[in-house]
Amino acid sequence: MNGLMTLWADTGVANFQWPELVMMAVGGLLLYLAIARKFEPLLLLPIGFGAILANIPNAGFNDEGGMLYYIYHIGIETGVFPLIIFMGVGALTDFGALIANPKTLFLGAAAQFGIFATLFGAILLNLVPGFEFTLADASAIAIIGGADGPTAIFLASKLAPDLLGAIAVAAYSYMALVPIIQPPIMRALTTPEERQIKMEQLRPVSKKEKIIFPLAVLFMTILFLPAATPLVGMFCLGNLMRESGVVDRLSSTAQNELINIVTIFLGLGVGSKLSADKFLNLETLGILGLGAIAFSIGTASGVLMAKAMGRFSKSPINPLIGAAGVSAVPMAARVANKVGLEANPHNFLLMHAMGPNVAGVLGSAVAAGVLLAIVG
Amino acid sequence: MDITGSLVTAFMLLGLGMAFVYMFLGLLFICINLMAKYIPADKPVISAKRKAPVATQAANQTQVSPQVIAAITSAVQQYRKARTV
Repeated sequence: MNGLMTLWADTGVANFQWPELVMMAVGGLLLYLAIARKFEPLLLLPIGFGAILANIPNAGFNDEGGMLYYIYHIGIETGVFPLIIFMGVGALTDFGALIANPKTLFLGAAAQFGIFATLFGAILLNLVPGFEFTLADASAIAIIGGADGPTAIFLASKLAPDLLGAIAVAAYSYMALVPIIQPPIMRALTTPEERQIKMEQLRPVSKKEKIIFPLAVLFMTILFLPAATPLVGMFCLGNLMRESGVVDRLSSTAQNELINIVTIFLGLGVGSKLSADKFLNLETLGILGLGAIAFSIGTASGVLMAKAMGRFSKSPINPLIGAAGVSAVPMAARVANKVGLEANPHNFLLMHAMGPNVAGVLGSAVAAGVLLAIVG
Repeated sequence: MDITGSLVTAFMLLGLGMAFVYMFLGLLFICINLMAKYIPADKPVISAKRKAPVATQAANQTQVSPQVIAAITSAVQQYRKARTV
């Protein structure tokens, strides 16, 4: 009988508590979004499963010695996983559209306004009872506006590790919701005539330019913002491997096997932070709300900047491509293309939108570097 | 936490951060323009394999066989005769 009682005491049924059940339901919701709705499945599936594993009573996944404990401390706390993902993203990125039309760099810069503007929202939330965000917390939350998952995770792991789970979930959720969040803002800020603007064909970019570009970016980061070199450096390494054409095997590994393996562990590691005590609180709601605001402001800033540039530019600029400045590669560029096609079925903006899109990746990495240098 | 102090810091971060992002990407803009100016464009690659068949095809087109010329000539003559009659 004692054996039976001991066995019963070790079952999940006997040990479940409501917060853990709620968090497992949150994990189930993330799995549903990933599988049924195809929302960022590569990340939300392992995150959702990690959330379920992390909340299993008596399993000890998050305790010292548990698998998720080690995954988190080795890969995320050290910042290694997001950086390896960034290397893979660099290897996947073609900067041709940006090099062909460098003006789009300013659209990528404008969209970062969402990050810095959200700092105010996070600080003002402290006026509401139940919220207690420090400036470091506010900075980590604001980076959601950059719509760049690895950058958000990297910065959160450095500035606000306790908020990492909520920040990562918010960042990836909003990236998945780009096709829903952005179009109304883009339509509200542009006229039908502006959405129909056709842009000039991009010039061909030489191989040498593509090889020198990542080296130039790295050199500038070393000179002006060493705090951003972990992110920018890994990104440039991946891109140089791609463009140099002499290490196709390494480039292929960074683009495929390595990024896939690390994505699994990154997702599980983020999921491990979705424990009831850290996620089920008012602050998570605040983070989700602030993330949406940051994202919307970033989109609006990009569109408005594109409109302003269009007035002074010799070559026409369709303001829709400004919305792609928030990163979220390549989803934001696809959305700009789709909204453009609605206005003019013969106007393909995808390649033009890829310029601000990849500029946004650089812009958000620079913004993260600034926050890390000043607040960190 | 002192809200006013934090808001002032956030305002400073906003100004400094945006200025820095613009400065950084602005310098990159200059860099890319310099690259476009001084780095020569890739030469178009024309493979010898593709060139050869085009040349032979062109040569073939200019060399029409005498039999074809004779056939066309006789057809034209027959047509003219038929018209005059």
